[in-house]
Order: sequence, then structure tokens, then C-alpha cells
Amino acid sequence: MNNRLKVLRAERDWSQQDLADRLQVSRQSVNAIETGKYDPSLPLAFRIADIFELTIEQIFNPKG
Amino acid sequence: MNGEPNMAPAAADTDKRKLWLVVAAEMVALAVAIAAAITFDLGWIGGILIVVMVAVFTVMIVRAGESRARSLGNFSEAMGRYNRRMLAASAVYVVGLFGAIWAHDELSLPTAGAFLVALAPSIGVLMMVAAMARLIVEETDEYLRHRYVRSSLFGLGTLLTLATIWGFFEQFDLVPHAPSWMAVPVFALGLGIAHCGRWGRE
Repeated sequence: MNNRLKVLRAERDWSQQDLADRLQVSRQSVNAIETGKYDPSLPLAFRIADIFELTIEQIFNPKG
Repeated sequence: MNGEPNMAPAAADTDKRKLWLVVAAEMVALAVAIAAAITFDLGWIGGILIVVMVAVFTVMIVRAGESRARSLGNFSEAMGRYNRRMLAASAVYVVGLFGAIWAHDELSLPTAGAFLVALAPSIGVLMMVAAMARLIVEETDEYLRHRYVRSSLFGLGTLLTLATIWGFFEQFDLVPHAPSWMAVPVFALGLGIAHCGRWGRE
């Protein structure tokens, strides 16, 4: 699954650790999601969407 | 890795060096201690000396590993608790094992007592199994939990595969008998292989 996490982070000038701290997960988790190695659960996807004030569909693309 | 480089590469590299240094130091110290125990026929004292040394180095390795995990951003409180539980379980295992060997050799025990003594080394190992289960229950970071569950499944697969193959080899008198207490070490070996494979990929 593709996602825009890296772009969205860059727009806000956040490091992976900054995002990890906001999500209360490890930096490795953010890295794994960002690089497509791991697809987050629905609750985590909602938390990510909340933090960026977007919908899940605006961040994650299942056709990737 | 396609993502952002590690948070603090210098710190991570330093921690990695520290970790390997402690592991190398343990190997050297262990080799020297075993050679000394054999050369000077230290018996029980030599055995205890080696166990104490392994315990000290294990604590150092765990601390160095935690430090590296922190700098890589994959340390969690649940993992810290898991490490402490495993250290405690290892200490209980060593005491239980040495105590059981001593009691078996030195005491004349009735059947019930012999069963209790034989059970003593299992306590530490069961504590380790409980620590593994607690890690999966307590880990709040879903990706770290996912990684650990995958590694555990690899360990379980390794155990089932080796036990099945060895069992049939044994059935046809091709290999010597393997004691069933080897199940946990074989599982741990599989777990370790899975961890190493992941480190290689990452």
C-alpha cells in the first residue's frame, strides 16, 4: 500500500521521531509504515489521519 | 533502507560498537575461564565462576542492546520489562539447575522429593515462556509486536520442523535420543535466527 507520509512529514518539517512521538509509537514503526514494509492497523491509520488533519484515503492508497 | 536515515547515526554506531565489544569481550573471557577451569581442575568453583561471569556479561549485553535499540528508535517500555524478566528468569534457572544437580547427587530423596527437585530447573524456563507471552500482551507498539510475533512464529516453526525430523530419525535408530527440555533452547535458536535475519535486512 502506498502512502504520502514522507511528503506530509516534509511539509511540516517533522522528522520520523517527531511523528513517532506524536503517534506514541517507535521511530522504526514510522519508518516501516512510510517505506511500505508494514501496513498500520485501522486505529493507527485513524491516529495518523487525525494528526495530519486528513482522511485515511488522502494519506493511504490501496492501489499502490 | 528507503526511509529517513537513523535518528542519531553517530550514537547508533557508537552503541553498535559498544555492543559488539561487550560480546567479543565475553567470548574471550569465557574462553579464558573455561581453559583455566579445565587446566587447574577448578571443579564446582570453576563452574560457578563461569556462570557468574556469563551473568555479568549478559547484563552488560542487555544494557548495550537496550542502548542501541534506543538510538535506533525501536526500544519500548515493554521490551525493557521483558529484558528484566528474562534476566530474572535466567538467574532462577541457573539456581534451580545447580540446586537440582546438587540435590540429586548429594541427597537421598523419596520419589515425590525427586520429582520436585527435577522440576526446579523448569521454573526459570517457564518464567522465560511467561516473559515472552507478557511481551506480546504488553507491547503497545503494533509494529514492534508484529515483528516479535513473526520472529516467534519462525522460532516455533524451527522447533516443530527439527523435532519432527529428529523424532523420526530417532525412531529409526539413526540419531541419539534428544531430551525434551531442548524444546525451549531450539525455539530460542529459531527466534535468534529470525532476529538476525531481520537485522540483516534492515
